[in-house]
Amino acid sequence: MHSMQLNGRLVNFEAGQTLLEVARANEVPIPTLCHHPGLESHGGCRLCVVEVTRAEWDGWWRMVSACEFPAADDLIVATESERLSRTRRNVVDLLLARCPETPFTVALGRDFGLAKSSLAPRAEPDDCILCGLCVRVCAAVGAHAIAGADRGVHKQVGPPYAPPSFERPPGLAPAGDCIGCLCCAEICPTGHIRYENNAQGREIWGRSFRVVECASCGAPLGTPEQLDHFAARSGLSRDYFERCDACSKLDTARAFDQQVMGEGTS
Amino acid sequence: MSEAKRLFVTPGRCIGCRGCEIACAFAHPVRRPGGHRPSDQPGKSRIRTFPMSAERHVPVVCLQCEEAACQAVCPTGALQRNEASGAIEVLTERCVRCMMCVVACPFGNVHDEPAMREIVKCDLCGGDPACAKFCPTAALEYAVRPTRNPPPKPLHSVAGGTRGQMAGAVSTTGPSVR
Repeated sequence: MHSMQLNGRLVNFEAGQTLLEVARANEVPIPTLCHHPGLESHGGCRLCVVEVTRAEWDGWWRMVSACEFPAADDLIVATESERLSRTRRNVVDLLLARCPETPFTVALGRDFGLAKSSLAPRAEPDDCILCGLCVRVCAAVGAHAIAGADRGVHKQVGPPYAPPSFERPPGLAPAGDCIGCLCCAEICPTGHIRYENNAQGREIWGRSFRVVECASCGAPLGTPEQLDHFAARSGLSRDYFERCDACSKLDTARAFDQQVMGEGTS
Repeated sequence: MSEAKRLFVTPGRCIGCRGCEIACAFAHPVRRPGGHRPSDQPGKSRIRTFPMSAERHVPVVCLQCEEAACQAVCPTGALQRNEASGAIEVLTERCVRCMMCVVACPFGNVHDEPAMREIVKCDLCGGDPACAKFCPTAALEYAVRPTRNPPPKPLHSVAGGTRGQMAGAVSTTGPSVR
C-alpha cells in the first residue's frame, strides 16, 4: 500500500491511480470539466489543477492536472489555494469569452463567481468549449470519425477533410467514418453537437443514416453502420444485434418454457 | 466459489403474480439525470414475467453470465462484476450510453432507461435481491442451490403486513393447503 499527503492528511492509494482518483476516493472535491471516468484523461480543461511538491523540493512546487498526474509515494498535494483558485477562475474566464451565451459556461461562471467574462467575447460564438469528450468517446467506441483540427483560436472539432475553420464554410464535409451512434452528442456537456432523429432516419455530422428496426416489434435499434461496427468489434454474430432487448427477453422466456416443457413430458 | 449464492429461476413454480417486477421497480427508484438523488418514482423493472399460457409463466432476469457479452463489448469498462454479489453491475459514471450492451445481450436483459439517461440491468440488489424476497412460490430463489419442495410463503410474511386475504389467495396454490 502506498501513501501520500493530500491537503495535509495522509491518504493511501493503489499504484496506477491518478491524483483525481485518489482525491475522489477520499471525498476531496476537485472541479473537472473534460474528465470522464470511462474515457482516457486528456488534461485539456485545466480546471482540475492541483499543487504538488515533495519535502526535498525545498519549497518548490508544480501545478499539474489531477486527472493525469499519477499518485506517488511521499507526494504532498494541495487541492485548494489562492493560486489554484486564480488559475481555475482564469480558465472559466476564457471559456466564458469563448461561449458567452452558452447556458453551461454561464452556470460554470456563476460557480466561480464570474457574471461575465473580463475578456472580449468571441465575435461569432458557438457552443463548443473544446473539451474533447466527443473525440475521446468516438475513439473509445472505435469509430474514430471526428478529431480536433487546427490550433489555437481556430481549433475546432469535426470529421476529417472539413475545410479549415478560418474559411468559415457553410457546412462541414460529411463524416465518412461516423457510424451514427450519437455518443458524441450524448456526452457533449454544452449540447453543441446537433443531431436529428426523423421519419427518414438520423442525421449527424452532415450525414444521413437509415435506422434499423427490431425484426419483430419495429422498435428503433440503431443505424446499420452502428450494428455492423458493434458486431465486428465484439466478434459476436450480427444476429445478436437484430432484435431489441424486450423481444430478446420474450425469446428467452419462450426458450426457457420450451426447455421446461420438454423436461416435463419426457 | 461453488458455495456462492445465486439467483435461481424455477419457471414451473411461477404463478405470474408479477410481484417480482413490482419489487424490482421499487428497489431501483428513478434517479434524476445529473444528480444522484433518488426519487419516490419506481424505476424500470429489470425482471419480467411472461405468460406462456393460462397456467405457465416464465420470469426472465439477467443470468450474470460467466463470459458476458455485455461486459465484453463495453468500450469503457462500465460493466464490472461485483465479486461480493456475483452480479455484473453498470458503473453509471463510466458509461457513455453507446447501447452496445443493450443490443449485444442475447437474452435481452440490459435496458436503456431514457428518463434516467442510464443503462440498467439486474444488480442482484447488491447481494439481497428484492424479487426473490417477494416471490411467494420460490420460483425465484437466492440461495446456494434451489430448494426441492419449497413451502408456500404467505405474502404477509415478506411484506410485513397483515393482508390475510392476499395471503390466503396465494397459499391456496401451495402444496400444503387442501
